[in-house]
Amino acid sequence: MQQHLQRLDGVAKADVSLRDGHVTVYPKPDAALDPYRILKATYDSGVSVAEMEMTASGTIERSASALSFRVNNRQSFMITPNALSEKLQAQAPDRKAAIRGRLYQKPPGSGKPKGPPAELKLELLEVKDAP
Amino acid sequence: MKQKQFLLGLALWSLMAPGLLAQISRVDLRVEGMT
Repeated sequence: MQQHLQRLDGVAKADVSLRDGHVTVYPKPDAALDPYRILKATYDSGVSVAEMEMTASGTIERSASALSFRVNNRQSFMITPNALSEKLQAQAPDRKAAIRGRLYQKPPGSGKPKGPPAELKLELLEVKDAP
Repeated sequence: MKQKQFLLGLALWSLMAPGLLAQISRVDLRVEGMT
């Protein structure tokens, strides 16, 4: 799995802990990580993903009915409503921020999923204003 | 623990990127069935 992940574009290093089943993927300098490809590569290597989180900086954007988190011109994630996003909904329309959020969680009690979902949505866990 | 890592990462990022350098700085996965 480590080799699968380290072959992906933009990946500098993948730390794999066999003991606790934890994997951390770091980007190359000035390169973009693609969480969907990371999730797919992990499934393709034969293991099941229980949960995936990302730490990122970007802009929280507000439209009429929803929030999204834009990392750059090519990467944007719809934000799943929760208590934190409801607080943000009432604030400025566009806000630069550093976030930690959950992009995937295995559905409970459904056995081993066949693969990653078609779309990743972001559940905000922590938000800090960007400097 | 994760909050500490997040704050440490944020502090380092603040030092290294005076402007906003938008990027995904890490992706963490919890996996099952790994041998």
